[in-house]
Amino acid sequence: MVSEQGPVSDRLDDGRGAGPPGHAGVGGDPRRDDGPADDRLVALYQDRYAAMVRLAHLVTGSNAVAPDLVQDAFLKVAPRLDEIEQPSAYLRTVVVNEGRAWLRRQEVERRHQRVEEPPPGLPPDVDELWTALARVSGRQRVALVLRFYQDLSFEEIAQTLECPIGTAKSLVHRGLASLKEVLDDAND
Amino acid sequence: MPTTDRNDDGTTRPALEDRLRDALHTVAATTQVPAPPIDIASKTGATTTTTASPWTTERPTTELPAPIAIDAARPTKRASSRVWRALAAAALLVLLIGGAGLFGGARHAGDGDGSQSPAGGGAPTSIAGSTIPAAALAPSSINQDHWHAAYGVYLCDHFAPVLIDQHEDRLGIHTHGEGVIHIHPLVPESSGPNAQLGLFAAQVGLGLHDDQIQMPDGTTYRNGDTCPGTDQKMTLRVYEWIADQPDLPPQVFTRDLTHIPFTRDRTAFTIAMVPDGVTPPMPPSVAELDHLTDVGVAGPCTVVCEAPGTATTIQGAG
Repeated sequence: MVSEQGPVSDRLDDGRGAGPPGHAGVGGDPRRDDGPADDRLVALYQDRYAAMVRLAHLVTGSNAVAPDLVQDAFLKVAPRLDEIEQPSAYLRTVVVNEGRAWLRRQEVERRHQRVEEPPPGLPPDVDELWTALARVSGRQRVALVLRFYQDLSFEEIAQTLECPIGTAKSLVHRGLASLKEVLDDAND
Repeated sequence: MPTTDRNDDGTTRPALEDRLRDALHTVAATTQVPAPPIDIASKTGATTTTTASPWTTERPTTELPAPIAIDAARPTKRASSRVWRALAAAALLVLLIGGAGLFGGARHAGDGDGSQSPAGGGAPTSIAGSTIPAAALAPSSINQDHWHAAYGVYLCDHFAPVLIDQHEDRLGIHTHGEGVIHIHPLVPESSGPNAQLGLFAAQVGLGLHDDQIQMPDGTTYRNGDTCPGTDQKMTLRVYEWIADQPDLPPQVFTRDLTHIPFTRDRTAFTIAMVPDGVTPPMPPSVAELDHLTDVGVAGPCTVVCEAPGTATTIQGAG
């Protein structure tokens, strides 16, 4: 047995919360950094880059475009870092918006036949859901990702999507219904 | 226990919400996060892993670009974003090096409380003295290496039975039911920094989240659930030891658990639902690490031995 490692952070590393304690600088919450904006940008980059790439991957369905979207998001956040109260949440919103814009540009293609990039080696059930998710509307997809990957509350989803809470609830509800419908169709 | 949906034949399955949550986390675990364009660690004298790593192919260092003010990288038009992106990346890297001294705390050095998320909070690059191993910096070597990590799922005060593969292994991360993770990446998605605990969890049907685990039989343990017969609330953490240095305290992960990278050979992971203040033991299967005979031993292939585009055949038990 070894000694207990002390208090830990239980926050999800998905853009929601602070980094773990005892991990100053790299994992610390950029909001708590009193240093210059550049330092905070570095901290934010260190803390959130990978998580945001994963989020962008889920939002867009494309791992290939995700890093570019996130890089663009950081460029948009950087000049405003001094003014932003919650950089992680702001960055997440920018990444989601970048993803939604990308989805809109792909909308026509998506309606017909947008082929998701299937990660290799996925279990069948995961593969089925991932494929089905590509058939859900972009806005619903984003809401589902925020709800079930980021574990955001409806209020947080509404803030991210800049819509009323009722709309956020509806998007998630209808997104699940659409997903179920797609899955049922695929199984018929 | 999870909520369930009922199939047409009367059998049940996890609710769509739980399945979607699992699927999203599993896919996210496969996300390839680009490596940094230059080796920052070599510029800063960062401490990296001392054990030979499958991923630590040395790369030539690159002269750093001249400092560029970050504000100068502000994009104005999307058409020019690629140029700005390059400039911003350069500026960020310069800043990273300049700020390297801010980021102390070597892996397993006992600095702070030792708890963290993987790869320095999900960062894509290494910083001097950070916990990010060279693995996170170097390109992957596919199909050249074979690492092992003992693991166990610890529930309050005991280890759960070892897990077994739930489907064919196409990534090169699997188990033989002896409590050991076998890691010999077959594809880029499971190589280098992409070799992560979440891939193993998906392989054995373990629903691994930051606040709950779902066993292959559907039993779910959530943060805040109480240990049987007590009022002690359990919390999910993953403890990682270096098997050959048992006196070192474990590294404790509390978030982003699916992205915990495999950074070296002969480690031990305890995926634990334990009350606060309780540190679980190393998994008993750590002893198996000294009895593995599958490396380089000819024998029947029990996994996908040849992945598309790879030349090496992994023989033996895998």
